[in-house]
Amino acid sequence: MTAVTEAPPGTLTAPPRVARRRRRMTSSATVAGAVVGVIVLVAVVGPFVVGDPNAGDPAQRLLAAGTHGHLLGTDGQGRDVFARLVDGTRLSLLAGLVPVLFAAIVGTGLGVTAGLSGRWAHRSIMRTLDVFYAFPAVLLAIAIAAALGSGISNSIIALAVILVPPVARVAETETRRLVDLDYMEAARASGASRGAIALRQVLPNVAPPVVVYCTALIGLSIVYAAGLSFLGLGVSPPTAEWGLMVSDHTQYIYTAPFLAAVPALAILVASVAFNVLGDGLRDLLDVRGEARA
Amino acid sequence: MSTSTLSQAEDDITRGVAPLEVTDLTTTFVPKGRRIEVVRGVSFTLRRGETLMLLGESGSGKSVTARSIMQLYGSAAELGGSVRMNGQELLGLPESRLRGVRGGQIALIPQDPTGALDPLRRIGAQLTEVLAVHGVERVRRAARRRAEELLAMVGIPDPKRVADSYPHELSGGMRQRAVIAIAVACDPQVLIADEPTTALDVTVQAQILELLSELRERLGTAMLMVTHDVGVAGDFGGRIGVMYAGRLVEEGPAGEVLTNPRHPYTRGLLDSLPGPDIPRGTLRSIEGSPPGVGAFPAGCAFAPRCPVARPSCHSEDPPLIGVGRDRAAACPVVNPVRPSPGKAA
Amino acid sequence: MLGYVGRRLLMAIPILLGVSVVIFVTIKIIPGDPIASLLGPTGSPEARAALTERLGLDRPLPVQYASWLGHTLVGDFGTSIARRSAVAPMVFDALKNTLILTLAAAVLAMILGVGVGTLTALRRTGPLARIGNGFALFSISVPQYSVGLLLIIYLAAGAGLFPVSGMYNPSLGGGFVDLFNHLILPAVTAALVPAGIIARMFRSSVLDVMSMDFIEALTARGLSRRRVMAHAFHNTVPSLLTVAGLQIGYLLGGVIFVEAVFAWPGIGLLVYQSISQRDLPVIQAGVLVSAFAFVMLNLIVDALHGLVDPRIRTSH
Repeated sequence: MTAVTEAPPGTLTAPPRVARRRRRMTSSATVAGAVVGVIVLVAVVGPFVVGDPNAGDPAQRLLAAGTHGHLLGTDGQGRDVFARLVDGTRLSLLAGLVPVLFAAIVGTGLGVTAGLSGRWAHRSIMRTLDVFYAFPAVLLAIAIAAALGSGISNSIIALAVILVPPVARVAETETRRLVDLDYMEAARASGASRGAIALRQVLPNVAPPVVVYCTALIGLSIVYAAGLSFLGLGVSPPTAEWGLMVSDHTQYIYTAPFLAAVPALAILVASVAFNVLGDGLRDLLDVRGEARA
Repeated sequence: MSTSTLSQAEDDITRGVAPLEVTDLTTTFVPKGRRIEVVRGVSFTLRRGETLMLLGESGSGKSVTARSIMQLYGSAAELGGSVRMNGQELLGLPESRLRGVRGGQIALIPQDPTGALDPLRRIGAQLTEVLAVHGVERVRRAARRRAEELLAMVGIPDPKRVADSYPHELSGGMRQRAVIAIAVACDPQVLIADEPTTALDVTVQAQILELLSELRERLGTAMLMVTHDVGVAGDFGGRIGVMYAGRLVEEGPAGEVLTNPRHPYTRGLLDSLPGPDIPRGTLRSIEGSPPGVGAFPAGCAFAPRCPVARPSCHSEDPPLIGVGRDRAAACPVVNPVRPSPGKAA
Repeated sequence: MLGYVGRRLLMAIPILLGVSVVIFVTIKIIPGDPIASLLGPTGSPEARAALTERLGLDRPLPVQYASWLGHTLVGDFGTSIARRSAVAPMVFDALKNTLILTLAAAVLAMILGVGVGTLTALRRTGPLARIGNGFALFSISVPQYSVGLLLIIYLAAGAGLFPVSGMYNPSLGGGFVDLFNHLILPAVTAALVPAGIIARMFRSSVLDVMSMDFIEALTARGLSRRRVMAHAFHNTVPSLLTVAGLQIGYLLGGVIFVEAVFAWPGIGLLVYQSISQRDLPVIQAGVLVSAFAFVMLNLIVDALHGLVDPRIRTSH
């Protein structure tokens, strides 16, 4: 038996962890991860590889897919669809990742603070969040995006704002669950400051469910961002962006339906990939499913 | 056939057929093509009004034995051997017949009372449902009255209020009493109690045990109690069956088994208990740990840890050997088999 | 039970007040000069000053808020800048239409979601399960506007099975059948994502309940398999209601995409159009009424939840 040393106040032993069997990701989750990787790669490297997404030649409009030099054909203004798709990946990915990243940081901060605080602070934070929860999310995003004007950055801001409450709620629920556990008592008894408790005990345990939840939110954010552009509230033409392309190609729905389907499929694939990845992460990290907002 | 079973058979003839007779029960779980043996041939007989305590550590197979008797595992497990109730074989009965047996003739009192009640229905409703399903009382008002009587019988001071309550509105002790009320509602011949006190506070434990003892007296029910607590086993009386690694290793009246164990495992178990006469700092434990389920060694499962094991113990399955009247132990080392004159082995 | 509902109602009031504040502030942030858009570029300074005073835009913000709130509470939502008519009837009419669509979509989503969820819970493996799970995954990831467009192309314009857009066919003079006809495609489109979410949640909820101890205890009491399943499903209803509540928000908000694609005259479309027209009173009223409807719907779901699950009543 090892001798028990006196731990200085403020340093905490690791919380008791049930021995976790090393879980493997399901094959579908690995595939999803690969797809996500491809998407990221395309977003970063793609624009340098393909041609100018805005180079339109009216004489070459509405060419079918596979025509020489145009892998996916051309759109109504003669622009190469493939190039636009690749170029738009960057924007869509940004619109998916940035709001979620912001919401993850701010939301976790708010949620953990609320979870660890006394009654008054907890109440005020959660009630404020409730006000935002009272809005149908999409409507609020539209209102904010409209208020701020067009442009991808405003879309990102709007999405970031509406994604904070759900993340905060998940973080708060998980924090409350932990707070009830005995080792939190031990931590408090050993004299650790609340900040230390937050950092060393709460965050590592709250992180997995939040990460899983946020991964699914990325897919949602991509869809919403494209939706905002679809409504004309996000990016403005002639920028290449998936949602804008969907809206743009709609007019050719009878003459060239494939055209309208392409950007929609891109959105779908990205969304599915992130969702499946989120599921895989949940299995890997052994997290109980949380209700999606 | 061991001499123990023979003397029991003699008694059966004098007292009539036993309410519960388990012979060579085996339970093998079959998840996804694998086979995991958990109960490896358990035999005992419960006569009217008798109590048998199945004592053992976790993993010994005692809970599985109890549940296998009621066939609660469905297709998840394969059962072998025989379980007879009043002479009638239960294994292999179709579901429609089993339904009547469960709750009607054999009732279960599970370990955690919270888990045994439907959280969305009131206690009274759960009682009247059981009464109706088994045809005891289908008329609403009469069933309701019977429900309140049952609740009073298990020592609940305000039966009317409790009948109108939901499970989460009651304390742990009250919930366990309600569960017991449901179990005895249809006057079963056999009560199976699976660690009925483990989930309760210490003070409540004693009350529940007393209640069970009272009921056993009053209703003449035979009781099979599963427990890992030697103290409970000793207090409750009746017979004790010690289980280890899926088998019964010792059986006999509680007082005798606990004061004069005839199996090395039982002895080791009792020796490891703290008591007033043990000098400080010398708690003894049995070396090693029990074999994991499904990974039983050949021969006597206890042999690897046994202080008196012989080489043959590691290869030969020890039979349950009679040690005087109504006692048995599965250890040829401690109980050398003496051929008895005139009795067929 | 009444106490529980009463408490939820009381809690809703400060939330709605907070909502009104947020809306008011958001509107004020919108760039653009409402005076200029009303008068046009030719307005004289006197006219501008007069109009400013008439609209109360020179008063301090909290006073403006109080005035706006006061009017709103009595049902005076102001006058639409673009249409020059009272906002209130416009908004309530649009809300009615949106509720019709939302309710239809909700019913569809529940049926589909519970069906697929149960299927994939009871059949863990096999082709049926894979289809079910695949559908659920697809549903939650799909961009609704695309599906809407696809449905229009193939089923409406292409096959002529359903009308292409709108809520009624004016030449047919309204009527329930006509409404139903127009309702199908948009309702299906709107129901897809919630159906997928409900399917997944219900599946995990069924699996949870099935593995609970009391299922075994019920069998041990001698209840038939059918009875035990009935008890089990009864126990999945609470979490189903929770998901349903969450989905309502999603539906009410997401419906705007469907309304845009199908030209369904609902409140989403109204707000959207008003945004491009800078019609502030309509935007304000529209978002406020949406939030109000959302809170009320949630209240109803909460009440149902309390009715089904007695544990909720005591903990809140």
